[in-house]
This record gives sequence, C-alpha cells and structure tokens, in this order.
Amino acid sequence: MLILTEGCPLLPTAAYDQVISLLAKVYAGTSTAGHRLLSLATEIARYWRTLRIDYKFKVDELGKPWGVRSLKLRSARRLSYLASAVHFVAFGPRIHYAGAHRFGLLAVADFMKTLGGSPVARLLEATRKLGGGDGELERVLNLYDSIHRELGKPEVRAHLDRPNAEYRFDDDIYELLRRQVRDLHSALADYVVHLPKEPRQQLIEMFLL
Amino acid sequence: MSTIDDPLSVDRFPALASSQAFSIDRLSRSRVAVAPVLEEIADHVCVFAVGSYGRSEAQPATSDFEWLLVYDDERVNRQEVDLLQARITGIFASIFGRDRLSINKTFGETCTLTDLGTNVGGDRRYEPNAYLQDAHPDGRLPFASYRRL
Repeated sequence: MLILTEGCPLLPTAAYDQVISLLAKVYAGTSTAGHRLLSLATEIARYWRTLRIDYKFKVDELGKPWGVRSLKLRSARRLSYLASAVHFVAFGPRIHYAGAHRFGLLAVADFMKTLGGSPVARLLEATRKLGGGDGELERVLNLYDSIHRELGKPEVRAHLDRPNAEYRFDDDIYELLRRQVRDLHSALADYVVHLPKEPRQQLIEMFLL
Repeated sequence: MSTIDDPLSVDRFPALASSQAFSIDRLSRSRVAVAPVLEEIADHVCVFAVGSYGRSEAQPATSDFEWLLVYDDERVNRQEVDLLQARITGIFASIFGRDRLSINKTFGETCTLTDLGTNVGGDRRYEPNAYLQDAHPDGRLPFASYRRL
C-alpha cells in the first residue's frame, strides 16, 4: 500500500510495470476482487488503520517522541487516506456483472498507476470529477497548507518533540497546531458530507462499512 | 490544465505548491543520477520514493528521503541487490545530504516481488510499517539492520 498510495517510481522501468501488473493480478485477478475492487479498497483502509494504531504502539510501548508523529498522522496521513479513498470512488474500475465477470487487468494496472504521488493533486482531480465539495475542499487545503508550513520548520519540530505529553495542552505551539489538525479533521468530514449523494454513498460502503 | 486563478489548484496553497516543486526537483535529479546505475538490471529492479517525497510534500529543512527498492527475486540475487542498494545510497546521500536519508530509520528497504504478491490479507503480509521494528517474517532482517552489522 505504501508503494501504491504514497509512492512514486524514480524511473518507469519494465520492473515498475511488472510490480503493478503483479499487484493488479493479486487484487483483481480472482473472484475475491469484488465488483468495485473492494479487496484493494479494504487494504487501503487497513493500511490507514494500521498507521493509526502503530502510533499508539510506538509512543506507548517504544517510547518514541509523540508530538510531530501525532500531528503528521492527523494531517498528512489522514489527508492522504481520504485522497486515496475519494480518488478510488471517482476513478476506480468496476465490473458490471451483466456484461463481464472479470476485471480487465490492464485497466486495473492503469488505475493503480494513478493511485500514488501527490494526495492533494488526487483530491483535486477527484473533486473535479465528482462535481461537489469544492468550497469545503478549499477550506481543507487552506488548513492543510498552514499545518504543512509550520511542520516544515525545524525549530517547531524540535520544540514539538520536547514537551511532556502530560502538559501538552499548556504548550502554545503544540496547542495551536492541535487545534488546526482538529479543525482539519472536521473539515475533511464536512467535505465528505458535501459530496454528491452517489459518490458519498460509495465512499461509505467501500471505506467505512 | 488548472491555473492559479482556479480555486481548485494547488498553486493557491503556497506551502504545498513549494513542497511539490521542491520534491519534483529533487526526484528529477535522483532520476538522472540513478539511471546509469540501474541500466543493466532496470528490467528487474524498481526504486520507489516513498513518504513525503513519494507524496510530493517534501520540505527542504525537515524531510528525510525514504525509498524502497523492489526486485525480481527470480532474476536478481540478494548480493546484487545489496551492492546496488549501497551504490544508490551514495547517490542519494549526495543529492539529499547523508543526514537526510532514512538509513537506520524507517525506510531504505528492499522487497522482493514474491513478498509483494503473496500472503495478501494473511498474518505474514509484507508491509514495511508492519514489521519495522522486527526481523522480516521469513527471518530476513530489514535493510537498515544489515547496515548496522
């Protein structure tokens, strides 16, 4: 999932085509694929859930710094997950059982090649295709831009990994960013709520239920 | 093609647009530098930028370069991959700075095609995030661990 949803091939070699063809065959080549390629959608959802619970393990049991890790999870990784999910609904392959019982693996491979790279670009493209949620997306991206800028400052990062978690709400820098990631979470949900009914329904069916 | 006047364009979000441009520039430099090294076995090896560079969200002062090398284990042996990995690590160090590489951190891993295509949904599924702290389920150590030996 890392390669597919957050990866970018340095060179489009024959080996890259081989990797994608293999993954297309694995996820779409048998009857377990699901008519909307739910097997792959489920992996994407599982990957995000794994990242979320892995945060708990790393902080609680391995004692890793929590500040930057927490804020990145609640901003970049969350936005990336939603971008993959919405992109999947907008552009993902489908089987219409009346006409076919199997996916065309070349079409699935072509789709998989569009899953990686910039989540922001995918979110923008999917929103254009689905035709709704523009205003909400602008709010999402304004918030994300601000969080992204702050987390790109070395002094902010160094500061964020210092505070004791017990006193985190007393830390002005952390508290400001915490409010922003909380608002981003809410804005992402608002964006989903304002999608047109059919894709919203599909998003819920494929990535929540 | 979107423009800066388009409300749905990344150009309207300065930090994101700047990160995208920076990521593309560094990945382009890496592409040019790595291509001759991969030339002989490019049909069997693929290098992926992952993490913030993979998402085109890297920032000059804070982002580490993370990568994953996938190889066809029916055509390339482990020693060849280790040599290749060592060479491209040097190249990446010259482009991103050695302190910005993910050596001994999260990625900088290798993975076989067999690992990618098997045990999907099973409890031994290869997924870098799932076993970073431990040995590979098959007993192989993560690449970062080899470097510490």
